Amino acid sequence: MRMDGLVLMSKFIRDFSPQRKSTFFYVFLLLLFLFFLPQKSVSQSQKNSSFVARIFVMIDGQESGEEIGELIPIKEGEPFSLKKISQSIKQIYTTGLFSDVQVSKEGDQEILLTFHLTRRLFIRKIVFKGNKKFPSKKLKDGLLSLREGSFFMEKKLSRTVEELKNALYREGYFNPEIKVDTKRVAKSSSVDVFFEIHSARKFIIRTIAFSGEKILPEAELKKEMKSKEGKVYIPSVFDEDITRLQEVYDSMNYQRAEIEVEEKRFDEKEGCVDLILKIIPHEKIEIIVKGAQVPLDLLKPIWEARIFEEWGQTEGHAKILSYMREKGYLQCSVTSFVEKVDDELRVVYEVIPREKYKIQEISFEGLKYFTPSQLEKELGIMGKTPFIDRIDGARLFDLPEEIGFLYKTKGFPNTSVDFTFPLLGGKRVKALINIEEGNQEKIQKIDFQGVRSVDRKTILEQIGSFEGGPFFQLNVQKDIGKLENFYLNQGIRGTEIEARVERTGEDLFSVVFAVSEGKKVEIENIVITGNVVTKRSVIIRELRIKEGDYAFYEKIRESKRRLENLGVFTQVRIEEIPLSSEKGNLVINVREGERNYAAVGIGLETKTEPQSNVWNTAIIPRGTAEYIRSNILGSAAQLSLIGQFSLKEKRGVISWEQPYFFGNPMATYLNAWWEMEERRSFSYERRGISLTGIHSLSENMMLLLTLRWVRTELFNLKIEPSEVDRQQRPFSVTSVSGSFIWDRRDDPFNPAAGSFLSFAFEWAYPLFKVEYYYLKSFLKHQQFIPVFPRVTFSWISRLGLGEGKIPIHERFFAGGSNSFRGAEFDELGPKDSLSQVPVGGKALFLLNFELSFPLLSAVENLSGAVFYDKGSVFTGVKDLSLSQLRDALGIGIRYRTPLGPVRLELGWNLNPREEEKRFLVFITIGNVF
Amino acid sequence: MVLFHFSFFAHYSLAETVDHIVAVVNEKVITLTDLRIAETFCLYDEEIDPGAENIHQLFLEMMIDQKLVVLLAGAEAVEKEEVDSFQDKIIEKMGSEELEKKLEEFGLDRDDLREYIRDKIIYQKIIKRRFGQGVIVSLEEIEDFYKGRYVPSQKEMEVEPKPMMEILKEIESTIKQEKAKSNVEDWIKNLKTQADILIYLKN
Repeated sequence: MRMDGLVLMSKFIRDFSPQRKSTFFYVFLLLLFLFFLPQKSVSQSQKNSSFVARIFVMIDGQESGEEIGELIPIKEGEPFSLKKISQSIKQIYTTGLFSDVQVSKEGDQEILLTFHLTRRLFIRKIVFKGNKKFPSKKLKDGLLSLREGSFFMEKKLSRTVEELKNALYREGYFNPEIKVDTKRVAKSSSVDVFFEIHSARKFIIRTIAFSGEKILPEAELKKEMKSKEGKVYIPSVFDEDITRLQEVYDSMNYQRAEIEVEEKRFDEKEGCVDLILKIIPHEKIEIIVKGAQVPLDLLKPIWEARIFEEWGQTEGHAKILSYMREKGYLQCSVTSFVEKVDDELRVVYEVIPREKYKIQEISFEGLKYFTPSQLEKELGIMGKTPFIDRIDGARLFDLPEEIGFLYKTKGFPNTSVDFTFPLLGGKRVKALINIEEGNQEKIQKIDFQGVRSVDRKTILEQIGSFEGGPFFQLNVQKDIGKLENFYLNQGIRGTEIEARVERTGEDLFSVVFAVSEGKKVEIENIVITGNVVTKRSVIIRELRIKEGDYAFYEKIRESKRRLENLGVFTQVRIEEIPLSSEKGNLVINVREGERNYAAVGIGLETKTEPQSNVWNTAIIPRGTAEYIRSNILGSAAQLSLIGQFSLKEKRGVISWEQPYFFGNPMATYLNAWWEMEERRSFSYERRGISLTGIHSLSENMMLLLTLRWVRTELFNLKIEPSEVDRQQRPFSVTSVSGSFIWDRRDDPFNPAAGSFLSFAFEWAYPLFKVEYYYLKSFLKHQQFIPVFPRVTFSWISRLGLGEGKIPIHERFFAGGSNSFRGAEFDELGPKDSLSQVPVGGKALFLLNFELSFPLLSAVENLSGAVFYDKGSVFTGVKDLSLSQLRDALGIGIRYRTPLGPVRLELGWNLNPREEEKRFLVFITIGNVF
Repeated sequence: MVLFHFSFFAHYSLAETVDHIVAVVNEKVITLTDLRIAETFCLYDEEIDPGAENIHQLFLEMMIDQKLVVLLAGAEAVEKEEVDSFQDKIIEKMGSEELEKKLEEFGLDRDDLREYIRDKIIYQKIIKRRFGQGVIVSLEEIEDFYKGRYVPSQKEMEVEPKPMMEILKEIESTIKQEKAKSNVEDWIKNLKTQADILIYLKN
């Protein structure tokens, strides 16, 4: 451009007459002077007067109007500053959205700044192609710098090729040629990475030889190896072989054996390799324990490495004593010696077990600060439990140290603890723990220096220490952490806290917290990045903080939790970017997850209800198919299609789920379904639509409201037509139902303490010309009481009442492992007079009492149970009679799993009727509900 | 037309890159401006010879090492006096006027510069704490140094080598320094293998 201009000018001058040329020459000189004069003066004052006239943001070469501009601290009209440009680069990079940032300028006085950003891409998939079939999973595992789902960095590709070569080598592919190609996925910030692998060569193992002192015959060593002569050489397999040989030598008491590759001779021409392994067995170590049965695996690891023998002996003593004491040999003693015979090291432990005792009681002497029960609770010592030892011998020997530390935290630095175990008679002893507490050190005074933003009372409430309370240095450190957190929650950043402790008297201390308060930081901009589909308003809705607020730390954390709970992001990052000491930006970087989810499942079910008698069941297949499309229209709503198929049950559900209902924070579900199911007394085909709203009242309390319309057709009726009002034609029910749930259980899957209360009602009303109207309510209460450690007493009470015209499938049924364990599934209550199949009722009353207890100390997840169930189902509310309740007694064992206990139960029907079984066996997963 | 051309060229020349990322260390960015600040204010004069070849590369490596170590250290207390002392050294080297001029060029104030100095001090403190003590030099090493390096170097300079006992302290000190330096290099090398480092600056 500049050259073109000059050429034009010369042409212009040439075309002029000489006189005019002369005039023009002076004008030209004047202009030239004017041109250079301001230039010079500008360059002198440029640094002071140059300012940013315009800022452009280019993303991948395209001009962008995105919010990124807000992250740039330097603004149009401000003086040009390299510091602010550098800050801008760092802030932009922090969003995680860009892999490179460059800034260019045009002009010297009125500066045009352009931020050139390179969008960061995510790796959607990694594909290996080539002339061979490669073990994709192993190769992917070998790629450390490139993972599916992680950021794509072109700069890392060369490193990745090296990693891939290494991974290929490990799998037996030598000298490969690797080409890398990437392909951007249309309309997304993802990229697919393709590795094309060619010419990877394989080598055949020609010979495997051993050098050194082998001890075992070569043939036997080769037999242990997966690498074989004549087979392909795979280094990863060969490494595993070395480990396996190490184990072989270890089992022969050569724990210190060294096995290493001496040589790998590659014959490029023949495509073969000769492998030589060097074996140095070192000394044989025989560990002998005399006088007691102690697992040698406990002691072997001590002697694997080269150690000081004295240390090995002492360590062995400690392990043996702990093992023996755990078994009840409280007076056990151990001695040991080491013998060297030729190349053999013999370590002999001599154990004198003495008597085996059971610790029947624990008592404490010298306690002043704690009561015995308080101390036991602090130490986590189990309460008295029938058949279960409160502590074992090994723990008893550890108690002095534990108690000493506990006392230290309470301000007793010099507590001494010892114990004896006097005999109680027979093989029972009492653990008598003597405690000399010593003096307690206390905090006489707590002062705060430099605290200006809050009053003394408020700040004192934040810390655990208090005047007159115990002094322990670690507690003071914890207080510093609490104070730092407090300041963060006040929106203050940059606070520094130090604690100074001074002795002010005998056992008295003063603590001074020297606080250098930071500044309250205001959030100037909230920048949301990474949301490709999700609407900004959806993200803003979850934030507990807004622009102009102070940077309250807890609110920022809560915002993060809420965004994560939306279920549409795989990653949520919230970063505070300081703009100055009092202002900052909040950058919210989200990463949207996969929006499509599909799953199929195949399973087996029993022909009778799964919870019923297990001995008389036929197994039939069942399948499920599920498709979920999440974050529809970027609103965090979800559409799911679910199908369940089996010989006796078919179900299809379309479900729409959204976190808000007309702007209110209420999870809302709109379901439409069709189902067909065979039951004991009838079969039905049903279709319906429902709208449910769930509103959380508190962390463990919620309200549910459902509007429902259902059309049902019954068939295969095995009951009297009188039991069904309109069994011959389809009928409909329109209902509104509400539920209240208050769940205070310690664990919903394996509760051991707490309670659960739910109340539900359903009102079916004559709308849309429907035939049924009724009112139904159901109250359930569960209580779990820990009687002793691992011993829980629980009861469940259930009351169901209904009025009006209730169709059979809406009635109450009971019987089976989750309601009444003296009857098979649905079999409790009114039955059809002819077919004797259950017809359900309008009233239900059930009580379940259960005591669960540990069976084996060693298997914590295993427990036993005794239970008593009482209850029945009645035709109508007026028929409900406590004298008509049925009883069942039973025992069971259960094994805790993360999904609830697996229960095996034997129920005894105490008052069986004709054709009813007296004993029933159930296997179920989950609790009684 | 002519005036238009003149005014156009007077205000806008071709775009020049003023700043960019030179490296990213565990997701923390080092910019060209950071690098230039370190060079301009002689932050690494003790570590880097100003006349060394490929000086930009050396500065970048130094900054990466420092960033790695500082990130590892987390909150490390630096006294105000320590920063003051370092700043005084810079003023001594550059002169107060020149310092202010350079600060202005970067849009920095003295507090900003103190942040760079603070990081440098943290780095030095950690290195000193980790490797400042405990370097043991054996008699064999001193003998090897004496025979293998000291004596030949003296002979090369045509100087009569001193007896070993006379220069024992000097040799021990040299070996200690070399070993400490080598330990630092090994440690940082190890840190680098565990870190995520991307270098954007081309040689």
